[in-house]
Amino acid sequence: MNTSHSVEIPAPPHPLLELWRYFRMNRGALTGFGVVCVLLFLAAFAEVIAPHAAAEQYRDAILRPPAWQEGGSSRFILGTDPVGRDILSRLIYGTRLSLLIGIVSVSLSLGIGTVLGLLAGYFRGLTEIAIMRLMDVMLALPSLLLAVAVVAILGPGLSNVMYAIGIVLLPHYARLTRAAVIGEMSKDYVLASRLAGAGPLRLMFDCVLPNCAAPLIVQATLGFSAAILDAAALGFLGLGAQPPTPEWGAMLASALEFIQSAWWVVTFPGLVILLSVLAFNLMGDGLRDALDPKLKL
Amino acid sequence: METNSTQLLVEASRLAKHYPVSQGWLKPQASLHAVDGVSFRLVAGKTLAVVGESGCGKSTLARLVAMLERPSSGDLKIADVQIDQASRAELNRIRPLVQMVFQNPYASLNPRKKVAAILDEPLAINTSLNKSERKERGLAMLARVGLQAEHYSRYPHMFSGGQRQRIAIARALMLEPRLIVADEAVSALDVSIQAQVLNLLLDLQESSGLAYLFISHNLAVVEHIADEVMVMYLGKIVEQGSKLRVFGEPLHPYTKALLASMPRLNSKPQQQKIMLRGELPSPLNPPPGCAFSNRCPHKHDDCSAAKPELKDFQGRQVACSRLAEIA
Amino acid sequence: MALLEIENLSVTFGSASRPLKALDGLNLCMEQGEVVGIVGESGSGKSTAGLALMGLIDYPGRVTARRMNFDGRDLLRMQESERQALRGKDIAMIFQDPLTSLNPCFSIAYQLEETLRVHQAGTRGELRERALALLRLVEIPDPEQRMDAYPHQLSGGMCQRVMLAMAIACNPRLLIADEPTTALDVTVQAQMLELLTGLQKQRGMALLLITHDLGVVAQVAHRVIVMYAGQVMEQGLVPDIFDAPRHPYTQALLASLPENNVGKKRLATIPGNVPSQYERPDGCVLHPRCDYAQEVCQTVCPALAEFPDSLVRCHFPLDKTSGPCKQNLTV
Repeated sequence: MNTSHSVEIPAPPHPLLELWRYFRMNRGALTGFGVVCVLLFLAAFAEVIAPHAAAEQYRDAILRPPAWQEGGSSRFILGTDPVGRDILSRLIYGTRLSLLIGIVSVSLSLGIGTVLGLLAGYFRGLTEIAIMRLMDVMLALPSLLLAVAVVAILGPGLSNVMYAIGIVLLPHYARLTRAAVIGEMSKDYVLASRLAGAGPLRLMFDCVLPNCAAPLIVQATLGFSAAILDAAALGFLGLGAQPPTPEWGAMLASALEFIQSAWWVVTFPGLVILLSVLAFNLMGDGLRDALDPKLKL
Repeated sequence: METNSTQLLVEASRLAKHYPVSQGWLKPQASLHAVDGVSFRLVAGKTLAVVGESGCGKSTLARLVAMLERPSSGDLKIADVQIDQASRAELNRIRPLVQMVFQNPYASLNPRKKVAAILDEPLAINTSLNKSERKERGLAMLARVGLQAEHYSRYPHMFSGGQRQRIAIARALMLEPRLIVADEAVSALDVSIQAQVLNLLLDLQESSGLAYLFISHNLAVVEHIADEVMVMYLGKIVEQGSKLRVFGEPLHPYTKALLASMPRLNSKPQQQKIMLRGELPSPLNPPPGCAFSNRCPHKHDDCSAAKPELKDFQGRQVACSRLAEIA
Repeated sequence: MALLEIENLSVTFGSASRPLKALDGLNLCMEQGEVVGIVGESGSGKSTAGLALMGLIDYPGRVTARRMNFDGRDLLRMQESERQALRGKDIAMIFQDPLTSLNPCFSIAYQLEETLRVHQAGTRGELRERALALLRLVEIPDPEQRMDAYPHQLSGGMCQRVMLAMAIACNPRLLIADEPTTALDVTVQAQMLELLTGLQKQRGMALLLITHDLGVVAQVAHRVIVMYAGQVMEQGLVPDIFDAPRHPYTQALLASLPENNVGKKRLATIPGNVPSQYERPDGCVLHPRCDYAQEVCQTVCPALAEFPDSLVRCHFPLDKTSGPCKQNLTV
């Protein structure tokens, strides 16, 4: 009698490795990821890379044009701002701030929003109504206006800007999580966990939440770029970082009057904001594509 | 607990589950009688099969017995605990006794967890075993359902449907239940895999004295595995008895039609084709009197007058008011 | 000239270096009015065969065949526009899940009329009358009311009847039914099969029934093709194949059915699992699970051998006397 010869499947690759393989196929996402890595590197090693200190003012080099233009020098590659600070160095140090803003705001909104969404989706009934109506109210207000209001209450300053942006972005995560949780709760494996005696906490965090992770991860990556933009807007309005903090939006704000005369003071911060936001968006799109087929089992 | 072969595990008496259904703001709320007055007994080591088509209430019944939902009325006693009156704590205490295997092997395992975590969870919640003891039990259970040790650290999507169902059965067995509710457990499997899983279920029953509440629409499978059979239609039992009686000599017109509709390999050409006409009535608006009356070939005016009760007849129970004439 | 002539139909996916044969070498000749059943488990390639016939295999799938003629016309070399003219008119298909096969955004009347409009001329009123007649033909009660209903308002059985109405709207010569009754209840299934066979006889349609249910094929089909892992294992007349199968797979499949194990404690089973597309073994695809496998089975893939009324792909086909359940199968 022929004993069953099982064709052995080699041990499957680690899910992160598989994720990387899918992610790698998307050129745009890979580029975005590369840029994000560069930003991280700049933020980490700003002291070493930046040619000058961010707040150091060179009285003899006010409003110098970039190095390749007439009147520029290789000492200040991207030129200087109205008080003689090197733009390149400020941009490099500003990376640190923008990434910090992104991380703190997104962590705040992700953390609170996810928990609210979980509670709403799991308990339904009055809990859901209360939470979601609150979210609806927050979403009904223009996000920037809401952020301005929060900062007005808390006072200007970078940390308050981060809290404000965190609060403003909150409803998106709550809604996303709630929708995902409702979808997951009807699945058989949640029932199986209930039969095994799992209580609400275990069901919410151990069973359901990992399966809602994909849209949340994508939203968080895109939220990064939203946070940077919002911080830049608030900084532009003078509500964010106070001088001499080298925050990109604040740099834009202080230089608006020089658009025509010293274009480099406005353009480079703007370009950097554009590039960072684009990079995060591309990465987020790539993550979404890479995660979706994996989790559509 | 002593495994007495006549130990009564489940006793249901006039069990019912209603769902309120809103019909709009102005109309009064309607009531969906998913399970309407069902009575049965299930003994340890035996298999009670529930057959019926969609909308008959068998899935709702499964959820009631698995204590996933509370009955709306009637008595339900599982392992001597009165479920309809039990507190949350009591229900949690006896939860390990009743476990369930679901229909869709592709949706019943958490895709983000390895098999190890899936098998570990019931023990982690209910017992005080340490990690290595739990792993030992998990590996032993995997071997018992015919899988290998290397499958322990894999994710569900690496397995075929039949293997996933085995993992689901292993998970159900982790808490050493007395009763397993199999809700269409083999319906989504290929024919050859179905045979393997059915054999596994029978082996487990023999070695552990498990009882099964086997929900299925596949009469051929039910004929093989069941000891007792319950035929349901629109929330009520129409015929109930031992498998040999119900399959050998069906009495209720619906049972006869069900059995005649089965596509058989070796159908006898002289077997009369009983074709049911019409469609299943909406459970929100069942016909007056006997729910089957609008499709029954033996319909009489009296059938719409009153709902037939289950009566003993020829060694089993049938709910038909014209039984004496048509049997 | 046969209505449908297929020789060595194959469907390949994947790259050139790592091809995956979803279907490997199907031969089929169908006459007008004949019912042929294709039977197999998941991954057997039976649904792929139906889709390939309809020309619904998209890139990156590649369809190849030595011959694929419908009514004398070469389906392989046909232009897409010609194919589209055939689809729905001369060759029609119904699918398994009626709830997803009908567009949930449009009413039944709209979808029926759309099918008619594409292939036939007529005013709005005429088309509606024809649609109504079709609904009556498939025995939908109260067709005038149901016409304007949406798919979610109908039961599964009703939706499947509407699908059937759409399929036969233009009087096709060949109807391909891919698991038409799998998602239906037993009693509804019986009604559906009766309807299908009735219409088939009435219109002289050829019916290609793709299913995993051996009972359905035994009841309805004249000939049967048994498939496994993309290849044809056995094909022939239904009574011959089911009473005395020549291929070990057919025999084992029949033996594992509950109705062939009446009175036995355990069901006869085929050990192991159906190989996925990536893990097809060398030689005969069945050899890891076959009780009669020999050394040659592990290396050489058998060709289809011709017998008086059937084709068998096996190095050691069973002889005519060994019926099902008489061999010493794994129990």
